[in-house]
Amino acid sequence: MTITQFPFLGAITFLPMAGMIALAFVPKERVHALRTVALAITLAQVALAILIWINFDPALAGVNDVRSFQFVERLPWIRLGGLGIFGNVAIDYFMGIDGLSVGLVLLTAIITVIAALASFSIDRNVKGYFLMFLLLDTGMMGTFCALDFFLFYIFWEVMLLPMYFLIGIWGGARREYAAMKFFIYTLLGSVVMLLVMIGLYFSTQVMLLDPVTHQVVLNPLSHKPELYHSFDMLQMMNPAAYLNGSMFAGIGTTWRYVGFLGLLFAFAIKIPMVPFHTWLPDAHVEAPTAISVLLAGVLLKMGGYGIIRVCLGIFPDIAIALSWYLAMFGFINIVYGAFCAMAQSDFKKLIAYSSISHMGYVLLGIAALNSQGLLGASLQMFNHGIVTAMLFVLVGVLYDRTQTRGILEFGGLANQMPRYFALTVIAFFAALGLPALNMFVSEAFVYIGSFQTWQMWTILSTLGIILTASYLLWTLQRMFFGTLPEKWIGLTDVTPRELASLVPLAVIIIVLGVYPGPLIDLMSASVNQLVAVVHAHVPVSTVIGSAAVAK
Amino acid sequence: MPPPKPSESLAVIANAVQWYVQYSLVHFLPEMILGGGFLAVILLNALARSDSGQRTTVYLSILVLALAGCASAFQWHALDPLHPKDWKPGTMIFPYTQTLFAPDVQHGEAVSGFGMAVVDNFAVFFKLLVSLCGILVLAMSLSSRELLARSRRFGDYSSLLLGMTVGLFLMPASTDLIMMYLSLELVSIAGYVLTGFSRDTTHGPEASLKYLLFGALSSGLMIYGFSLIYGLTGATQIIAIRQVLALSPAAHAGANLLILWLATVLVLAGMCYKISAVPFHFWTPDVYEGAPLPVAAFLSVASKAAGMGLIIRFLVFTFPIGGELNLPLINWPIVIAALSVITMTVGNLAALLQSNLRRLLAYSSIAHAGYMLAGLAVNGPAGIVAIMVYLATYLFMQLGAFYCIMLIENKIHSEEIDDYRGLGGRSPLVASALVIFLVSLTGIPLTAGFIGKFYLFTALLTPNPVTHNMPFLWLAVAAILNAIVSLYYYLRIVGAMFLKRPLREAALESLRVAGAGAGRVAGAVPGTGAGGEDATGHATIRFALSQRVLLFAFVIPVIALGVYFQPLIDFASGVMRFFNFENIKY
Repeated sequence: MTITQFPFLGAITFLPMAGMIALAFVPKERVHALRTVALAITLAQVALAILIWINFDPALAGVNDVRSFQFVERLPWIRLGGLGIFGNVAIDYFMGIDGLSVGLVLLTAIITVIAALASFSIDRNVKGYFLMFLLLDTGMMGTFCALDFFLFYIFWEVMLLPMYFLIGIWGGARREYAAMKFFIYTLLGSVVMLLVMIGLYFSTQVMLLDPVTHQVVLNPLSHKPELYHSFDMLQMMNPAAYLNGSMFAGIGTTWRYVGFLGLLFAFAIKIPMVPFHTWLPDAHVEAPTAISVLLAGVLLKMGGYGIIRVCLGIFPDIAIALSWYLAMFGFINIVYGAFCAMAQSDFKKLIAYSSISHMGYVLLGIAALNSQGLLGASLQMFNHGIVTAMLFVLVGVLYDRTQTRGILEFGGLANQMPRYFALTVIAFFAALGLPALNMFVSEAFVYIGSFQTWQMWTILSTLGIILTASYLLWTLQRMFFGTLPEKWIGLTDVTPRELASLVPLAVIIIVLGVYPGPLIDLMSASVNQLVAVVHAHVPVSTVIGSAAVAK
Repeated sequence: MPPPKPSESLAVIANAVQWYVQYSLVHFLPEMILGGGFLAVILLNALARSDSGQRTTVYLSILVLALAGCASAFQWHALDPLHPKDWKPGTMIFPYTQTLFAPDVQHGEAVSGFGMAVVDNFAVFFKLLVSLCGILVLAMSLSSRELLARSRRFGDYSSLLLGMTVGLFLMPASTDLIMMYLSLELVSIAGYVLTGFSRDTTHGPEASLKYLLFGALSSGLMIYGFSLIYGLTGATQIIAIRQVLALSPAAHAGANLLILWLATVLVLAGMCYKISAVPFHFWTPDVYEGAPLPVAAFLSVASKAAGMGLIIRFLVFTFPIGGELNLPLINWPIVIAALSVITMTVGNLAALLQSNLRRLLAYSSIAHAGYMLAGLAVNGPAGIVAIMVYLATYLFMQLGAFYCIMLIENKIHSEEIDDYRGLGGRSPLVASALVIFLVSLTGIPLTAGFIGKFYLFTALLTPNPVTHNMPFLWLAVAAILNAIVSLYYYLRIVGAMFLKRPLREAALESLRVAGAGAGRVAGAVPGTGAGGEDATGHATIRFALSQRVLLFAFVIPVIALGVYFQPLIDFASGVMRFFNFENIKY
């Protein structure tokens, strides 16, 4: 294996920020230049993502062991040592990826390019738009790479403001309401996460390695190893790092339930899990196409990623205890989302509810707590990201031409827009889980996994397959077959720019449907390790500071 | 014993003077600089009546404040973590003892007696904060429309501000009830005048009168509380009071304890008025509305900071709870916790209903006082560091928000949220800066406000080292729910600037739709008759280079402290290591 010293993760995360600086110097009248710069940044991100993919060693598991994380970057950020008031504090710039996150890094890079292409139809205040777009990009990428909880939280929150503006300024008629709802809902979740994070921080203590000498840092007065509170997520997963008697110490204590539920609340809002999902349809309907693509393609995945990385990693005992409920919520998401989708007459809202339904599979897979289920959940996040991005782009294509999204206003489009029809069929059939398309693979894994653990919920959830098939096929029938209303006779087919964003997604859908091996290989070692960690809760060393030296 | 010869008495007096200069006046240098500067500004004010001369008084005041800040910085006592034994608790100044003519000096420190004030890192922190705030506010004042309307009075204005600063310097340093009262009154009286400074507005006199009436009431309550404490203990020096209380706890039970409680509550009333905590907050919205914006900004930051310093000093020094000097007579943390929750909730809920930005910021500043009080309720170093970090971040974001509002007010002559519609397009720089300040006031990461909130929550969640309980978890949850509420009204402003179209445009649109007679309604459309640069309604608003530069003086710290806050935490912790709860001995 080649360990590259180049800080790939820092580069891929902060490249958009550098792009923001570049954009700031482009005059705002030069719309085309602005778009080109933004697209170039996202393409460069994809290039970096591909380099990461090539250099990624799928044999290394990661999860709770810093030695098998890859592309690790660790720099001291805030260090309050020596008789500090808050105890000794260590906050690090700590980035690294393993099989659980590498797929999402790739996904983010791909989806961002698609969104950048879809953003070309924005013509109002283009400069401000792309500045916000790139800031959002940094936040998304950083969230998947951060291994320090403080850093994770900052990236998580950094996304809120750009998202608020992107929905609020460039959105539809009720954009203000949708943006406000999104912001407040998400902030509510994340402040709860903040409280749990601080509680975890006070519960764990580690010894620190000096970044220069690689020796354990000693107390200047007593010359004993100095104990630090740290936001290191990997240490929060380490039972040996917990202080005796501290809030989150022990197994299955009440406080651990509180902590787990607090974190779950934050992530459930993002996924969104059903009682907390009401912001999503509003945000999706009002957001411009590109932002819907990002929202469904990447932002929802943060919820699933958070549960897998943080909830399972840090509170495995509670995850096991509550997995029945998690499976129940998975079932509710799948079926409730599908029923809601069926009732929609707005094309975009239908896709939004189908996202809720599909994210239910992620919950169900996680609840299985076995290799197949978690692998299915991880695959589902990637696959759903691709499929839903394609669906939203397709909605946008139609909306750009007709300024309407009413399903009932269309009919007979298949003859009028054959290429559009073909692409839609691919996306729809992928979404309903047709074999040989990518979502089939992940849903199959989810069902295989969850059937071993929660048979009742799995059997009930299969209802979702039928419902999904019915609403998608019904939509297909209403929009593409029958007679074309006269007002749409002049509709043009997909343009080359739109093809440029749709075809790669279609290719990914088909390739991963036929041959999902590479993606599964990337994830399986980490998923197996995670299952082992969840069921065994293994302690590792409490010395942190340098990936190379830590034992 | 024969009377001393004149030459001998002269020597004694000379000795005493030398002693006073050496051990007290030296430590009083920042305040003396301010006093001297105050006189110099008055003199210049009398001599230079021209517009440019009056501006010079502002520059001179900025210089004086900078000098006073530097002098305070030299009083900082750096702490070597390797030698905790060398940390000095602070220097008492102006001791009043029988030993006035026979100074008692050990190891180069005056040890006898109890002083009127103390010079310690805690006081220095607040002095630095206040002088920085004063400098920024004076810089703001130079472009304030309200003050420029009376530009011939800049000299009066800046001298009053300097006078107020003397009081603000002394408030957190006072260790004597008399000194506390005097410094607080000095601040209040200057504040009354400054509040009514813009004679032209209708709100000015009302604000000034309200401020005066509430101020008179609450300082009356406070001095009554002081007198009760003096009656109980026979001392006005807070450390002497503590010692009296500690020596005879039995004498302070029963009815006496009740009186002590009453006295404490009365004193807190006076102090809570200064930081505008509920239920002594009623003056705040009216004063912020009526006072010139720079004055409101100064009151909301410097006055609040010094008031927090005063409350901390009074409660923690007089009634220490926990630690070596445990004196659990008055269980003030629970009182403060209750005040904190009420203050933040009332402030935030009232702010939800405001349509005027000044009043909105007034209520939000009440809410921020509530957050800070939560840090005090923790009753420990962590909580007080959190307050200090909060104040330092609050300084930049609150002043910045006021500055943006002032710049916009200069041009559109309004602070109504509805008139802010479309400002994002008309003045992207100031509108974006205001967004940064508002986001920071909410406490979103990568801004300074998040660091303030983060350390506050950390303090509230600091577990007891023995039992691992978190007694203030409920307060943290309350604060977090409040932060969510505050997001809503801050976002309303952001939404008005960026998400909504200008009212006039929207109104014209609806007119077109309705097809009504445009002539009849045009007069009713806001902004039509405003005149000046606003007459067009959508024109780009431009600001002078100096104004934009000053704007960055607020924006840069807000962002920088949000990203790298170690120096600030180190600085504030340096204060508290020193103001060590185990080690308050004088």
